[in-house]
Amino acid sequence: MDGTSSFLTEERVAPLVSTTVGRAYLTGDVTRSDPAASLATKVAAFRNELTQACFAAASAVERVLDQLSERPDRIVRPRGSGLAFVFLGGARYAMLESDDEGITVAMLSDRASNAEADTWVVEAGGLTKAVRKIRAFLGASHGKNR
Amino acid sequence: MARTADAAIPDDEALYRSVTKDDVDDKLVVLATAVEVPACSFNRGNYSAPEHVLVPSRPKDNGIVVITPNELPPPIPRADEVPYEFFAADDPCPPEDAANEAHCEVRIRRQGHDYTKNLKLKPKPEMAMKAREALARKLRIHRAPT
Repeated sequence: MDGTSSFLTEERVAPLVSTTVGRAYLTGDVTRSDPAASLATKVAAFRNELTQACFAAASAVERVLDQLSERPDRIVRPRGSGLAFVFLGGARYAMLESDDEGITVAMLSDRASNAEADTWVVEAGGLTKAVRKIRAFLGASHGKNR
Repeated sequence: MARTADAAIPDDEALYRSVTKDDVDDKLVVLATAVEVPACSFNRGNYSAPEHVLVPSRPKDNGIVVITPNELPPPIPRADEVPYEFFAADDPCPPEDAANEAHCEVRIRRQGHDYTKNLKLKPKPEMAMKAREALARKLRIHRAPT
């Protein structure tokens, strides 16, 4: 089992499978949405507003998030340009943002500390590592806002 | 005829900017998506009411954030290069907002150098993101977006 699977098992999945939640799913009282489908719809919805390079870069982010079964809390157009995937986790939050030139930047910010945000350009082969770093940074608090 | 730009903006003058609900988290913490660099538009409190940043062309931008020049973030250090520093500059009636006499900008420049719009000198993407997050951290909610 790799580090990501371990993280999912211990910090993401287990706390959600409470008796109450589990019963609802088992008895058909709720319908589980398809996170990947929802994400794809959201990114595609911005297509006409983005440059070709930005759309390609954002689509690459989307594919990796899909592969890792990760969901941003929101996908938004920043005031400047591009498309941002925002991950909220209490006092911490993270972003993957693709700009008009197709460059994707990752950011980790902890508002509970005075430390400046950690930012880096995500190369084509570095998206998986970036998403895993975001998961590790946000920990179990990610997803509580949904 | 547009007024002449003031040489300096008072340190305690309120500068206002509009934001959307997507630009804040559930605790009304302002996210980096709300701002841009190297120049971010604001309205000066000495020449306008806070609500003047709310315009029909951006109906979702119904929140208002505020900052004063003396609240701007400290310089952003860079490896092997001079830091970026924030400053507020009066900029009445710019071409993109020709009727707005209250318009000003929070800008970044290389410490000790004049501000320039030369795209060759624009911040690297990871530095731009770091600067945006630093600025967003300093913004206060004047009116919550809905």
